[in-house]
Amino acid sequence: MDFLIDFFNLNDVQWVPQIVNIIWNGSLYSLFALGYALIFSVLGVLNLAHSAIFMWGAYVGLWAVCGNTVFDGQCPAVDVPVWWAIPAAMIGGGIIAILVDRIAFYPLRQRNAPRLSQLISSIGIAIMMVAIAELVFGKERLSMPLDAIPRRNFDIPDGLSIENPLDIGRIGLGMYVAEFNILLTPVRLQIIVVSLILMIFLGFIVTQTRLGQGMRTVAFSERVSSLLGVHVDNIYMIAFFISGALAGAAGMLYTLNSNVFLPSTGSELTLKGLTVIVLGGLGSIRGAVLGGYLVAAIEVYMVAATDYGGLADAVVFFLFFLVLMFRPQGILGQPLPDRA
Amino acid sequence: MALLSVTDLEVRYGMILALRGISFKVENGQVVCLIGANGAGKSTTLNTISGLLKPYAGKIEFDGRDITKWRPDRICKAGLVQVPEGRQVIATMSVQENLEMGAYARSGGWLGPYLHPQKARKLSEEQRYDIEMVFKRFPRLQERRYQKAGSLSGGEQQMLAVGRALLARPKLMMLDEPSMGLAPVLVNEVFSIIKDLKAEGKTILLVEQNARKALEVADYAYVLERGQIIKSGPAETLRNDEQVIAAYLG
Amino acid sequence: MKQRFKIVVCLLLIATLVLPLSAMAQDGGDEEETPRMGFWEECADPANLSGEIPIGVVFGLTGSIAQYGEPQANGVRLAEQEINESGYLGEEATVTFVYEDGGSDRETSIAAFEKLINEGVVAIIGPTLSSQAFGADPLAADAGIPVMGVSNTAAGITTMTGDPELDQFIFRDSLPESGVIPGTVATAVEILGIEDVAILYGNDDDFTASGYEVFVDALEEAGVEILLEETFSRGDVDFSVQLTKIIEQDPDALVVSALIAEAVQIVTQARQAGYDGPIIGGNGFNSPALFTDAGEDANGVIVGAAWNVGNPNELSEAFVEKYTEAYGNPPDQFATQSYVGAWLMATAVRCADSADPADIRDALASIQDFPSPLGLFSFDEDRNPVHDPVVQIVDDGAFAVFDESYANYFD
Repeated sequence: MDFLIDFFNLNDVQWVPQIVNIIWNGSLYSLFALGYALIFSVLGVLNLAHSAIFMWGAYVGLWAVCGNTVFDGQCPAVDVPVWWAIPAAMIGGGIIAILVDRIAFYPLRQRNAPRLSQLISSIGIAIMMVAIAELVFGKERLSMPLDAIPRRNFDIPDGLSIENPLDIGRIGLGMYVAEFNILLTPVRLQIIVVSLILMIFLGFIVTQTRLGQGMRTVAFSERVSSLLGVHVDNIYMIAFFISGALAGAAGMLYTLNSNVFLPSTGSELTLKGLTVIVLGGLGSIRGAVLGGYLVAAIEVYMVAATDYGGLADAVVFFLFFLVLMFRPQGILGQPLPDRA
Repeated sequence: MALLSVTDLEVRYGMILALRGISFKVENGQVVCLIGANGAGKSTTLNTISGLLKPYAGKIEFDGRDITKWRPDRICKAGLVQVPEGRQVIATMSVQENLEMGAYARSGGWLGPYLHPQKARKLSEEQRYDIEMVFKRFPRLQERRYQKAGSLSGGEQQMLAVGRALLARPKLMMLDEPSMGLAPVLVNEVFSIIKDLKAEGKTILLVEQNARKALEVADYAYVLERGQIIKSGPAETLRNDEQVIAAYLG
Repeated sequence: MKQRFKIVVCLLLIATLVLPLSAMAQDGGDEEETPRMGFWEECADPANLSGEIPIGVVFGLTGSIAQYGEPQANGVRLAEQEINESGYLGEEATVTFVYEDGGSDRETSIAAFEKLINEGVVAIIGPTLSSQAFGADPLAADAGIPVMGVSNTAAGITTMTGDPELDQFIFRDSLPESGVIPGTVATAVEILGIEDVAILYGNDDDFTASGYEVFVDALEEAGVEILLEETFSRGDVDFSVQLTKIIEQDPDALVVSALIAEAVQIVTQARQAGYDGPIIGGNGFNSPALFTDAGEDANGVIVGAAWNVGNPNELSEAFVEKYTEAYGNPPDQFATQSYVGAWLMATAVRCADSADPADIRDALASIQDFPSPLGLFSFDEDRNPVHDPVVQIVDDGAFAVFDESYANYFD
């Protein structure tokens, strides 16, 4: 045991704050990857425009709380609670995802085009969406006003009393955060909570409802599904909506944390998200969640415990490569034929 | 009024004429079979009726309604259910889940079919009863209730495919090559299933290459050759037709 | 070469003898009211100059680069006016700056240089970007025309051709990062009594990585212990893992080498995490985005710069006043460096007492301790600028000059 601790250089690591870092980073990765995995499991095709939907979702959320000034590349004031941006981003992301399906996938599906063409088509629309975002919102970074987002580390707020039951939670959290030197802002807590809710919700839909069964049937065969009375186009539409809503939520939470809105936001997540779902198991919902936390754990570990933080991506992609070599179906995945 | 009537149905694959204007009828309570060689257009006929293929010309009427341009899922919901060629059970789902999928078509409402929880314990009384009936009919499926459908043998998969179709409570079942790829023992088993269904008064449109077996169970038959119906009549008549004997039963 | 050097030395000697007289004669009363540029004491009044002496100016005047190019051109215009009004080049001669748009890409700058060289300018100021300089400066060097960058801070600008015969024509007056950081670190250590620091830097970008190396050397020089070094990649938006480690170590100061996008995130996240000590930044922090995007979180950021609008230097104060009067807004660092660049060129023409590019080059190279808004300005042997940087601290949402009055700012 001591040997392992020495080998992995874990002595100097501050466990609690870094695990918190893993949790909120991992939640974000998982949330992003879930939508990716959902489309892959239903369509058998990677939707490489997922990160563009992520970015658009963030802009839609920004527009919802900031108003039309975002089209001039500004966000001078946020008059409504900033959290409204999250449902707005989800609805926006969902609708945009349906449009992506209609433009990039549907025509090809109708013609029974090979999956590779659909993959390439999704790359094309991703590039288009980034270009359109640059036109609409400008290439420069957009930010919300600094005071719009509660960004301070949790603390024991003034004026709270241990006698007020509503305050006990906040006091407890503040004490815990201070005691363990945790960096936990309200936005990050929001990331964790919203991600967990959405993950559980998606899990419920896929395993417990007719819709989920319909999706799994469509994933197996479009033809068989329609013979069983499944309205395949509706399933695709709903799947894209849910996937886009997850991407929108992830995009909004991601940008709320950084307060940087750029058309290029999320491009770095395309590959990372792919790694996440491949590690966990292509098309597996549980796999996407596991993969998200795994990638976050590797990244945090590389920075926290080694002097090679810059190599975190390299290690993640090396693992990606190993999984592809030795367990192509991923850690939790089942072997799948003919996917692209 | 026949339950299903197909009139002058013409189907093209690009420039190739797959069906050259065929017409036939299936009456309520009848077992009708289409026989013919490979590539005669039997499966094309079924897939066109099911809505998977769009006809170039002609008309399909089912239960008094023109379903020529309907989507496949709507046709299924109307009670015209196909058991596809090669069984096509959902390999990644359990036997139970496959049967539940069979009942998918019977859940109504716009949002209803999607967000209604559908696990065994939450199925409607009717659906649970139907599933139990399928297990009674095919006890071997009950034994493998929670196994993945992909792990079943060919015969069991055929049972599952038929059982799944029954869950939709079809008015007309279309079986596409149910005996294909099965060992002779299993072929007999499949046809005894069809006989049982017939005995229960189910209406069946059967497509078979195994013309001898098909004509044994059918009430009426059509012979398909290169996209055209060249002969039709009661199954018994065709069984004794020399031309048919020479071409398909010999 | 040697002979030229002798001539220059002779000229300088003569100049030192004659200049006090001429300066008084030329410019009696004015100087006392507002300090004026020029009238460098080392040079005599020119005797051989006449007519308009053309000097090319290449700045990016169109597109997004115009936010740098416009103030640069304004600085040169102001200098041109002052030079000619004061008769700096003698009774007979004036300097004429010929402006060409250098665009934002290399090719446009190269074309602008070619045009100016064909028109027979005696020297060129510009271009705006270092990358443009690498493309265009060799053209001037080939033609034997001195060229001075007034905003090029990349390493190796003045030795870009690798051939000393050509390189000798390439100058700059814009202080590179290596000229700014050591002074910044020394000042911060001296005033705040910093003993140990943590470093956070981008290791996948030339600019931030070289800034990091300069920081390490400067910290060693100042005897400061480096507790830990953390890295990030360009485009990162979250630094909580690194900051968790850094804050645990409780350093006296956080040293950051980053471009502005990451710099803003690091500053805000460090403050979010409850770190309220000094943050010493590299040149990447010299951007208004620091205030607009980090807001009050930026308070306590210490950054060195070649120049600051609050520079406590008489010439600088006079320049700010005049520039503001002429253009309606205070000058930025780019305007100041181009203004000084124009004056340096004029001074070289004056000291050379010749419109021959080679003579101008020699005179330019020998400028030492030239009083300017940037402070006492010299060229080193590689024709890089030498002058004291200004150490700034962000206080109440703006850069202020960092001096002893901030000794207790972080207490």
